[in-house]
Amino acid sequence: MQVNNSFKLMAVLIVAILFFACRKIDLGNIQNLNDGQVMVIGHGGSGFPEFSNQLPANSWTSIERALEGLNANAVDIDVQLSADHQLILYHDGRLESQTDCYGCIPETESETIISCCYRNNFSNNITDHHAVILLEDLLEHYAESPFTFLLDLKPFGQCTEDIIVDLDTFATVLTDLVVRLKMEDRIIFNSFFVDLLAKLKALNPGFRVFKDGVNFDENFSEATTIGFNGITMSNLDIDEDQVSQAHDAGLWVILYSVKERFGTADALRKNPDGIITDNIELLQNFLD
Amino acid sequence: MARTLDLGLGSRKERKGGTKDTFFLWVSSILAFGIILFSIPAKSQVIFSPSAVTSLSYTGFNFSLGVTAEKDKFSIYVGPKLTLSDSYLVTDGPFGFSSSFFFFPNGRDRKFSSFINFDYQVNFQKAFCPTGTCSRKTNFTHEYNLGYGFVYQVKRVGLMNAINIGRYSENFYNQLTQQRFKNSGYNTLIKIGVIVNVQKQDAGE
Repeated sequence: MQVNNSFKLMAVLIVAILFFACRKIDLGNIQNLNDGQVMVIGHGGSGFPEFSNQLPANSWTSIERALEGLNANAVDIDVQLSADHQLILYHDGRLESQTDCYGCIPETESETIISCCYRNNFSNNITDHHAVILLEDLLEHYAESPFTFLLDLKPFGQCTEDIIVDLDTFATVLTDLVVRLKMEDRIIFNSFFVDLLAKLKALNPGFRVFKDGVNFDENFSEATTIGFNGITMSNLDIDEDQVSQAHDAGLWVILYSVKERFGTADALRKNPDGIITDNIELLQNFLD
Repeated sequence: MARTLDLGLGSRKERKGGTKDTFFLWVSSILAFGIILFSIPAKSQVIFSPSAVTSLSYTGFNFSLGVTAEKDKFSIYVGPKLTLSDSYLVTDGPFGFSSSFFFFPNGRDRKFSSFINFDYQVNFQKAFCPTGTCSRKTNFTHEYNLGYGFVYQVKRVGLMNAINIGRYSENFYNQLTQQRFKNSGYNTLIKIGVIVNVQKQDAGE
C-alpha cells in the first residue's frame, strides 16, 4: 500500500511539472529587419563563465564551441588595442582581473599579452590552459567561414582614467584587417564610443556599425544622426515599441543581458534582429 | 595558429552511431553497477525505493526521477532526467539519463550515513536547425564524477546530498558545417535528493 502511495506521489510530481510547462512563443510572426530571423549571438563565445560554464569569455575554445559546436550565427567578442597596435580579445580593463598577468592592454605589448593565461576558475588552473588571443588569428582562421563577428570595441584602459588609445589608430588597424580578409559583410562594429564608430564609418561606409548605449533616446538619436546601421542595448533598457521605432528608422536592434528563460522570452517578444546570450542552447531551444 | 576549419560539406566523415554509443555507455554503466551490487554476498535483500534527485553541474540544473536499489552497504540509482537550464518547453527536453553508484562504508541503517559516490549522467538535445529543414542529429554531453556525500534519514525519507568532481565530455553536431565538435573539461556536480524507503524499517526504530 505504501509502495503504491509513493509511486502515486512521484506520478503527481511528473504531471505537475508537465502542467506548468510554458506555452511556445509565436516565432513565425517576428517583425524585424532580419527577415523574421533572430541572430543567435554567443556572449564572449559560448557565454561568460559561471558554475556551469567553465570556459573563459573571449578564449579560443569558447568561441569555437559557440560557432563550430552549438551552431551560433555569431559571437560577441571584446576588442582592445595593445601598445604595439595589435587587436586583442579581452573584456576587462586590467589583465590581472582574469589572467596571470598584470597591467592594461593599451600599455602592454601583444607578445606579453598572448602569453597570459586565464586563471579565474578552478578548471582552468588544474586541467585546461586558455590563453588571451589576437583578433587577427581568429579572423584569419574564420575568414572563409559563414560566421559573423560582433566586435565590441573598447578603446580604454583602467590604468589611467582617461582614454589613452588613439582612436584614429584603432579605427585604421581594424579597417585594414577586415578589408584585407574581405570580411566586411560578416563583421559588426559595436561600441559605446561614438567617435570611434564614426571614424570607422568614415573609413569605410560599407561597414556595419552599431551604437551601444543605456538610454534609448540618446542611442537612437546618435545612431540616426551619424548614419549607423543599428543599436545594441540591454534587454532591460528597451521595450517593444522602441524596438519598433528603431526598425521604422531602418536601424537593426541587437539585445543583450539575456540568459535565463524569462529574459529570453521577454527579449524575443520585442522582435529583435539578434540576441546576445549567455545560454546559446536555451535560446536555440526557443527558436527551434 | 595552426588550426584549420574545413567547411566543405560532408568532407569529414561523421562519427557513426553517436546516440547509440551513448545509450550503450549508459546501459553498460548500469549493468556494471548492478553486477557489483547483486554479486555482493549479503544477508539483506535488495530494496527498491523511488527517488528524486536535483543536480547542478556543467550541464546546468537537472531534475531526475528514478529508482534506488539498495543492498547491504551498496546502492545504485537510475532514472531519466530533464535539464531545466536549457529547456523552454520541458516536454521538448533536453532529456537524459542519470545513474549513481553509492558505497556506505559504515552501513546504511542509521540516522546519518555518509557515502562514496560515482555518478554518470548523459544529456541529449536535438542539434539546432535554423532553417527547419535539417536532418535531426543529436548533441550529447557525458558527465563522469566521483565524490562523497551523506544521507539524513527522517522516518522513511532519506535526504541525500553529494559533492562530486570529474569531467564532462560534449559532442555537438553543427548543421552548418555538417561536422561534429568535441569538447571536454573539468566538472563539478552538486546533488540534492530524496529517497523514499518504502520497504524497510524506520531508521532508529
